[in-house]
Amino acid sequence: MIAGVYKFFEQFFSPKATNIFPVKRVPSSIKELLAGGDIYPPIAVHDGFRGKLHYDYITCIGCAMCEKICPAKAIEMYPVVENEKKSKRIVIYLSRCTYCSECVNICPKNCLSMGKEFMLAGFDKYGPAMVVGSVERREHEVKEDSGA
Amino acid sequence: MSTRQTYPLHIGPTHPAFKEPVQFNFEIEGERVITCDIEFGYTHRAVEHIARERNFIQILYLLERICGICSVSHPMAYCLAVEQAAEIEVPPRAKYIRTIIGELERLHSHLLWTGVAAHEIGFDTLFLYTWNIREKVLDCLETITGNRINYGILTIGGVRRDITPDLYPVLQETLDYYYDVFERAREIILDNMSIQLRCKNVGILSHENALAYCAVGPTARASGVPRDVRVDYPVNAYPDIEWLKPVSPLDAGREPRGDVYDRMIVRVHEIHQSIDIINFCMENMPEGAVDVEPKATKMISTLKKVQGEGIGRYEAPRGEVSHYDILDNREGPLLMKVKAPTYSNGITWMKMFDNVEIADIPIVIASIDPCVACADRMSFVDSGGRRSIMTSADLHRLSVEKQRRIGK
Repeated sequence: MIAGVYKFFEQFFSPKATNIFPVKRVPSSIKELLAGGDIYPPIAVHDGFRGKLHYDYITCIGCAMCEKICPAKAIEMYPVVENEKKSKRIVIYLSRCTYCSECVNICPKNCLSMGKEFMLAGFDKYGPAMVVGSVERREHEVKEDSGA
Repeated sequence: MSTRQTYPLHIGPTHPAFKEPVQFNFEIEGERVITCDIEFGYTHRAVEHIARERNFIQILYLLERICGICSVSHPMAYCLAVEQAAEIEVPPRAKYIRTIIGELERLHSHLLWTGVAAHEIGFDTLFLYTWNIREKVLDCLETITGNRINYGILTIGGVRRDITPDLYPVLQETLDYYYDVFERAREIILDNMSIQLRCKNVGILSHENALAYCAVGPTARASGVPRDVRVDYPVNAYPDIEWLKPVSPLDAGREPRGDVYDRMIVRVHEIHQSIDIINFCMENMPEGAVDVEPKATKMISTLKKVQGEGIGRYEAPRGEVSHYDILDNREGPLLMKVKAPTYSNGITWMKMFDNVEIADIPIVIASIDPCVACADRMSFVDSGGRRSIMTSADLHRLSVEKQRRIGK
């Protein structure tokens, strides 16, 4: 009983255990608020944090190892023509990704890496924010038969 | 007329007092429970079936998601089973890192349980207090593994990430924090009058029943059965720890009675035991590699050549987890069988509910730390949508048929 009361006073005067809420008042528009960037930042993450995947289109050779190992089947291949040769590149659907970093470990060219972003919520799960490599895909994808 | 009249009381499958769907059918007289029947099968996810279509490495991440809290225990048991079948010797440093991660998980699982138990008896201050001190171990796990939960650190033949020297201070700081906070936390949790009033002599599982119904983990230890896989069948770094012995309510000077309070004592004392084990592992950490084969593709092709079977047992925070795998020249196991602790402990509810008041039902349910989704094995639905009940002879017949089908 005494321990409980003591703990109460100890916690009453100690600093807050939780992180500060991003804003003080309810904003009129959340999109504008996030675009402005004027929020309390979340606690910094450490090295080795498994956040959003980064993909380097240039170094990728389209070996499909990551597609085969991905436990969540979040990686999709699409055909491209690079250096006048038929090849394949990947897109990663972050809405399916489990952030296990198996693809990062297996990649022979080290073109995948894990970043530190984790605020990835969005409304469109097939939009450019939630599909890594979708911008490159729009630019480079060719139809399977027209490539020949 | 003085005939005893009983009423049925159905709780579940979804109910605010439960975290997971399970159906309880009580027969009550006044405020007291006379009989209890349990219906599982509302949250079957067919993990064993899904696993058959995946390779050895992909299964690890599937198994992590069997149970959100035991997210190291299931892959650990699976790795032990596959390593036994393929005769892979894990490097000593990997064994120690596995032990550290497993004990950190036990630490946060027991703190979580204490909070849940306090919440079930309406003591929300304690609930928030324990979850507050639990944040520290989650932060520590995030720093070491990269993920806050579902760490993805185990792999067949070792671990995927080393505990590098710059992570030692983080781990040491976490341990110091828990050594510091433990004594007061123990006092708040165990010496509290409201906890004692609500938990003592409630939901009693006697020593005989614990043996007869094959209780495992803290549930069995609270009933005075000194059973702990870490001591009985030690793996990882546990064989090196000579002072390790199953926690008993006797450590707190109380004769084991098997009530909810005893389970609370066992879990709280296991928190201290876990801190001691992590401390031991850090002091005696061997040097060397952390992995037999870092490339996943090479590991899969090695395992593809193996024919054999293996069984892995590991003491999860809730009790014994065992995995049985058959390897047969495939990219994944031919057959995988998972036994989660609630599978054993769920049956003991039948005995615990003897003469329990209705108000104590939530805490008795929570006292075994149930993980219903782990325990669900099958759900049968007839074509008409009606559930049918299988007898043990039917199950045996189905099992033999399936074995023949797979063996072809």
